[in-house]
Amino acid sequence: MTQSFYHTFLAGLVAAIVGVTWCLAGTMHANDADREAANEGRIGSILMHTVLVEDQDDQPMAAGEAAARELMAAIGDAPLQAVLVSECFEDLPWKQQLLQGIGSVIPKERIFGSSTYGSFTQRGTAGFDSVSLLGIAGDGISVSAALVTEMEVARLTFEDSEPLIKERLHAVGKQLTDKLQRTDQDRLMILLADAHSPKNKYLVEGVQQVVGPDFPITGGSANKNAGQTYVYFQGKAYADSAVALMLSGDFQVSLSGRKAMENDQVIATAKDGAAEALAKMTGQPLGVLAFNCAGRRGRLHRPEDEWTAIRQALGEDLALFGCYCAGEVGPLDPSEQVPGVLVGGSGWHVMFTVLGR
Amino acid sequence: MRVETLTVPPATGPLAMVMVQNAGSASWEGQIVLRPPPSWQLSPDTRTVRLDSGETQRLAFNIARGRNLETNRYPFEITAIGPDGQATHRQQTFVASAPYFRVQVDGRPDEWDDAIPISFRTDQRETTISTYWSRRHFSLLVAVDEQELVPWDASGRSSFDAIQFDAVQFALAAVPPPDQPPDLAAAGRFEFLLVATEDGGAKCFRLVTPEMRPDEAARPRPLDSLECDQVEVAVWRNDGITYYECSVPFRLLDNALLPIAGREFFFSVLVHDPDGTGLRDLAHHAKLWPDRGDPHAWNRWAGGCWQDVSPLGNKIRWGLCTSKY
Repeated sequence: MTQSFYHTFLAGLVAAIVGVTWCLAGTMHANDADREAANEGRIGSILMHTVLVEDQDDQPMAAGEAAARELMAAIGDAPLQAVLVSECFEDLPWKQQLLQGIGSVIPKERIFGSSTYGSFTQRGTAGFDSVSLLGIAGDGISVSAALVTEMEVARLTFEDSEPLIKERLHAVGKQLTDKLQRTDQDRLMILLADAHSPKNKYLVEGVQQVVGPDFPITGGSANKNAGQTYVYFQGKAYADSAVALMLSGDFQVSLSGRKAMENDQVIATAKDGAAEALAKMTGQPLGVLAFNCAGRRGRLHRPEDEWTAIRQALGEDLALFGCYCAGEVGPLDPSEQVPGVLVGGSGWHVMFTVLGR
Repeated sequence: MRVETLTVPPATGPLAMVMVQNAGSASWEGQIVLRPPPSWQLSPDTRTVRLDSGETQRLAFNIARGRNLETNRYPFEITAIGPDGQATHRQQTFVASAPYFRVQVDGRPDEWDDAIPISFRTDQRETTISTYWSRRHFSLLVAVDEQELVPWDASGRSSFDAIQFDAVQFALAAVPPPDQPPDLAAAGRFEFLLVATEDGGAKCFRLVTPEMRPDEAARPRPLDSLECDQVEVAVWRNDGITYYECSVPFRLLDNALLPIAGREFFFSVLVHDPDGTGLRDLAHHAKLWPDRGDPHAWNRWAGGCWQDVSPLGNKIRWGLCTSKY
């Protein structure tokens, strides 16, 4: 647990909770034009909030409930569009208890996410027995969600079955995208799947066959540890599945990606990638999504060093929803980018997306 | 020149690490070219390097495209091209990595189907080593093809000239940061010994802990004072193969090994087969270089196969990965 955490006591649960708000409502508009437009009702509000809870008392349901209550208290009356869950509890019974706790506060149909190797916000990082929530609310943003189950690639290996993996994940990508409600204000797709790197590249290619190669997509592969691989759709856990969320509204996104496999490079690339995504945002930044590789974290001499570098690049006040994954979706490292293709699925990357307007 | 073990499956695109050492009396400058297994791509495959006399460097080559192989044998070719000509070294390496899996220590080898086994032969007898990790345990299965299982001789357990018996000995150590000078005053590793007992059971002994002096760590001590019941262990025999299975709690290892995917550590295994092949050393299969510290690299417990072959060091680079799929 990091020093910046503070403690909340809830029904015997000792949990470390951090809450961060990204707000584009009321007095926190990006600029004068936005403020004026909002006052006139031409653009809606966008409210985002992150919470990180570390359960130290083996009570996943209480941890989920505590996180959800903290989130909803921050969101207030803004209409909740979706909640993204990054959780690192062990085994399905605990994961289900966690979802039950979250679902006791938040409508289940708004709950999406995946199992991860841990989470980070700008206030701290956490591994086992932790949950991070990103709440997306307001009438200036909408979220459409889709689920595809029974992908049947989890136990296929590249050396034996690459053509079959490619065929199935291309089909899943297309199915997912076809299920989404599309609008002319679609801005960002978040993709969460049981498709460990390097399989995730074929899932992304399948999505791109529908949305095109230059559409912004980010996301991560679910925790691949045996028995831990789940995505969450409308409050339920699904194995062998993929979830897509389409974020739509009057906002912008800027993306960057970096790859590294050794301590010093992991730290340096995280800082560079975060700084690049932030610099590319022409509007007022609202917050940052960071899908990071669990393997990168494993190569750090001190696991907190990468997080510190990210925070140095983004500043201490800009909200951050990050998680450690088994494969990442976003812009590939500059050394691996394909001309005309904005994003790909890969491993050993940290993928940043800044939302703003 | 030597290719290190791969600490995650190559299909995930990790680094291949090459150790180069200048054994000459003058400095050397040139190129190191790494040729990977067929159909792989490295990016780049050439590194320019300058080595002073006696200097060792560890060079990273990015595997842009790799393939996992069921055999877990990966042929590499390293060529050094310098002003005086070129030299080539061919070597097979292997994936030394523990996937995540919570195993029960109950004598069921089928639970190990999702591991990444490493097999090597000693005098026509095969040894297969598999590892797993979970949140709370590091687990090991060693399958030893041998004529007979000789259990620990309880009657000689306190003697320093004990009768020899079959056993598996393994070492675990943290990988220190590259800028941290080695602590030559401490062993810096854990060592454990697994044996079958005459009543059909099994025991684990903790031979070495990191704070021990290197010479003290290498010296034999009476085994019965070293029993470690926190390590779950089972030994059984089936169809000519002796299986040693154990799970070591991470909390027993202090911070030498943290249960985090992608984490690297040092690991090696010795198999003692006194009535058959003698000592079987995983480090020989990993092509570790001999080192002047090797005499202190392993605890020379009484009853082990130390008479014919000296083992190499105990520092094979190993990793914790997520899955072999």
